[in-house]
Amino acid sequence: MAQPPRTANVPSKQPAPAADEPVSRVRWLLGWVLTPSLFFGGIFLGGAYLGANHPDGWVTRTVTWVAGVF
Amino acid sequence: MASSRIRSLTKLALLLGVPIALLLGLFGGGVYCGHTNREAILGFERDWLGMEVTLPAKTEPVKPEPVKTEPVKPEPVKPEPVKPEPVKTEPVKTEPVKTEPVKTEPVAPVVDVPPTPVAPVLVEVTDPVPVTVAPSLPLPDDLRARLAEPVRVRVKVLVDPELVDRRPDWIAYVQRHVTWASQVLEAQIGVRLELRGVVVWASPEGTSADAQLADLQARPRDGTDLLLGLSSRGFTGVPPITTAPESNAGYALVPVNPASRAPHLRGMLYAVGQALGAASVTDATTEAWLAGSFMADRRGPDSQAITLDADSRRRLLERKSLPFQVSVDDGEH
Repeated sequence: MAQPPRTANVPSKQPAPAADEPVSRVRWLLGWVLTPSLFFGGIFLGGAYLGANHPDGWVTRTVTWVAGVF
Repeated sequence: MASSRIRSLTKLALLLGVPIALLLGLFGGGVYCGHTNREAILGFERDWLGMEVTLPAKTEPVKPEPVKTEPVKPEPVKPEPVKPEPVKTEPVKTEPVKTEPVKTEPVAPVVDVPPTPVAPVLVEVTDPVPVTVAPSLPLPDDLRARLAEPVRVRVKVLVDPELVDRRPDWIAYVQRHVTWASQVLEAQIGVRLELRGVVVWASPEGTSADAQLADLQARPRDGTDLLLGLSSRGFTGVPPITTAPESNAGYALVPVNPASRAPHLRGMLYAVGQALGAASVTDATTEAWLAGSFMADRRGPDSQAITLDADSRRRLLERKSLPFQVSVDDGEH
């Protein structure tokens, strides 16, 4: 009795790396540059907005006091 | 057992604390930067983002220059060797030269006479024109000579109370607009505006533009050449100004374009142009109107550069040296 061809252990074909390269580069830029920049830049800009528009708020006063210590 | 627990707790605290501290530091740095560069940030918010922001008045403290009270050095007085006079045989008294300590009287700090408090009107405007301005085109020889003639127009500005209520920095606002308009006019026709006064215009509210212009004409100019009424009205319905052949008008109504970053700039150029005798460009199909000439009776978008059409420019160059009409207060003398 002929056995069916064993295909279960055949590794699935990986897509050609050359075709995947631009996508991975975009992913890398998105993941390591754009998203962190937006995140940290947003935090910094939020602070700058607060400091400029609420100079008498407790946050600004605390920060300036701490900065004055050094 | 206890030490391992402490160690794990420390690790946990570090694991959570360090990122939080970094984020807080970043935020705090932002707050500090925002606080120290407040004026620049608020100016950006107002001019570029169109936010209703109240700029802090520039009250630059008069810095008394650090007067160097250099301690007067008591120069070591050299006991000069007294020459023994040949006649006297007496032993020369080498009088001990008193090295009196030079009194280091506290030098009165020579503080310069503090400058008279600078009125806000005189604060220098350094902001660039926030609207695109087209470079002036080359002129024929006769007009080039006219362009080179410097003409100074002294301006007094009356400000609509509505604008005063809306903008606490209304004096600086007027000053900026006059400076920007002056820059444009100087490049195009060689006319420089000099702001001589800014006052609230207690004109009857709700009146028409015609009534506002009539009210303006009944007011004294206080020695200035041109009285500009900064209105909260748009370009629609602004009455044309008629000028005499031998003189320029002394009054003009400045319409507003609320959507612009410089809401009264086009209106001010339009008003000065009218006062100097240029006709309002009302035909929306003309090249001048479409090209964004400031003599067009329209709210030009900020994306369109401010230009001046050739006909209006010629007219303004020809008339810029004419005297201004007699003021109400001049007529009384």
